[in-house]
Amino acid sequence: MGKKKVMIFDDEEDFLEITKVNLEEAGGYDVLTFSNAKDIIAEVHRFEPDIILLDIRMPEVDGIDACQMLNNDSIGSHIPVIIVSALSKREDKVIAYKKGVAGYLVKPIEEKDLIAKIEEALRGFE
Amino acid sequence: MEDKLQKVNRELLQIVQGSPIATFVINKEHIITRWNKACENLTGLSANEMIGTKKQWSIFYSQERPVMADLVVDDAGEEEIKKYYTDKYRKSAVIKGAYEAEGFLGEGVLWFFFTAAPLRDAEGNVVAAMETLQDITERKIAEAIEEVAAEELRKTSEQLKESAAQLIQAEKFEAVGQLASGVAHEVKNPLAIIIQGVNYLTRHVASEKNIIRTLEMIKSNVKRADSIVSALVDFSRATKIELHPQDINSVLENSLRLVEHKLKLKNIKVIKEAREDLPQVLADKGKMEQVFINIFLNSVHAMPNGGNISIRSYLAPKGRLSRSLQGKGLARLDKLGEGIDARSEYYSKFSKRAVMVEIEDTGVGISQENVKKVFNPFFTTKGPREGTGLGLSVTKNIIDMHGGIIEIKSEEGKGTKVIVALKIDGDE
Repeated sequence: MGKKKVMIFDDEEDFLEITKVNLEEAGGYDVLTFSNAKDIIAEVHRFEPDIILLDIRMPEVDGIDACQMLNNDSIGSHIPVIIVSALSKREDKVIAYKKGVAGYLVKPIEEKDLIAKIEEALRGFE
Repeated sequence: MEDKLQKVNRELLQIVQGSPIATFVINKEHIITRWNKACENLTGLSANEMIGTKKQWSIFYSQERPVMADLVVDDAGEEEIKKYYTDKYRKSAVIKGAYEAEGFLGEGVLWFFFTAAPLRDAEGNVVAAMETLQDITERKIAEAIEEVAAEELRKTSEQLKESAAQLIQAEKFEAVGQLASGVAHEVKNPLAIIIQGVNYLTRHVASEKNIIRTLEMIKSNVKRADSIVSALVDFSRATKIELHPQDINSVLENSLRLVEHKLKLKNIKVIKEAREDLPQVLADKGKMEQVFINIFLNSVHAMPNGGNISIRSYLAPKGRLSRSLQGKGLARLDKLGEGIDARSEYYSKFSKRAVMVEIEDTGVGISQENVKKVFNPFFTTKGPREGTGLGLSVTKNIIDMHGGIIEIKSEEGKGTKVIVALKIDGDE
C-alpha cells in the first residue's frame, strides 16, 4: 500500500515543519505544507491529497471558509478534512462539524493522536 | 357708649370666634369657657354642649384624661407633658409655657397638630389655657404617599444600580472571556510546536538518559500550561448561559454518572436523599452539570482513602424564607430548620421558594482561612500539576449567572458541605 498524501494548511511555519517531520518519520505519509489556504482548490487539484489538515485562524482565507470552498468543489468535496486548531470552544467545533469535517483536534496535539485521527478519517472515507 | 376695654374684649372674642383654626379655652378649674365655630366644625361638638363642662378630653379620647391645655393651665411642667405625649411634643419657641404636638388621635382616624398656650393675668399667673387644633390628616396621607413613593423610588434605583453593576460585571467577564480565548489561542499554538518538537527529540536522542528526562519534564509542563489556558477559556465560557426549566435531580444524576468511575476507583460511597416532587429550576443544564462535576471532583480529591458523599435536594419553601428574616443581615438558614446558613443575599434574592442542593463529603476539609478563598481564581490547595485553581471560581461564576447562591462550609478533618440554592421556574 502506498503512502497517504497529507496536505496541511496552517499559518504557523514551525508547526508545519515539525508536524511534517513527525508524520513522515512515523511512516506511511507524504506531507505537503501550506501557510495560506487562499489557493486551496488549485493546490488540491494539483496534488490530489488523501486527507487535508486545516487550521481555522489563518490570514486571508480561514479554515471554515476553506472547508466551504472544498465542499463546493467536485474533487475537494470527496477529501476528508480534519481541523487542527488552537480554538477550543464548543461553538467553534459546532461550526466546523456543520461544514462536514471528519474530525476536530485542539492544539497542542501529539502526532500519535493526529495519526489516530487521520487513520480514523481515512477509514471512514474508504 | 362702649368703653375702650369692652371694645378690645369684643374684638378679641371675635378674633377667637371667627378664627379658622379650631380653638377652645379652659379656665383654671379646667372648665371650658370658649369653643369657637371652627372647633364645632372640626369636632362635631357644639359650643352649647361643651362650654361649662370639663369634657375637652372627649375630642380625642374614649375615656377621661388630661389634654394638653389641662397640663398647661396647671403649669404642669415638661416632665408631666412628656408623660402624656412622650416624644411627640415640642416646646413653643415663641410663647413661654406653650407646647405643640402632632398625633394620631380621634380613635386613630385623624392626625392633629395641636398647640396649647397659657393665658396669664397682669401678675403673670396662669389663669386659663387656650388650645388650638388643626386636622392634618390629608397632609399626613400625602406625606405617607410621598414616603412610599420615595421608598419605591429608592428601591427601583437600588435595583437599577444592581442591574447596572451586574451588566458591568457581565461586560467585564465578556472582555476577560475574549482576552482569555485570545491568549489561549496564542499560547496553544506555540505549545503545539513545542510538544511535537519534544517528541521528535525524544525519538532522536533516545540513548541520553538525562536528555530524555529533561524532555519528559518539558512535555509534562507543556501539558500543565495547556490545562491552565484551557481552564481560563472554561472560566470565561461561563459568561453565557441558556436558562430552561430543569429537573435538578436529573441534572445531579447525569453529573454523577460522569464521575461514577472515579468514585468507584477511590472507594467513595454515594448517599442520595433526593426529594422527588421538586419544582423545576431555571438552569443551563450543561453548566449546572459542570458545577456538580466540579464539586464531586473536589470531594473525590478530598477523600484519597475513600469516604462518603451525601447528596440532598429539597425545597426551601416560601414560608421559611419569610419577611421576618429579610433584611436582618446575616440571617441563618439553620434557623429555618435546614441546618445550614447563608448570606443575607439569600433573602434579598430569594423572597420566594428555592430549590436547594447540598453535597457533603467526609474528606479532609478546608481550613477556615482557606474557605474564604476557595472561589478566588487560581486559588488551589492541590499541587501545581493537579489543579488550576479555577474549578470553584468557574462554579461560582456559573451559579452567579443563574442568580443562585453557593456556599461552602467546612471543618478540617471532618469534611466539606457545598450548598447551592437555585431559583424556581415561574417564580419571579
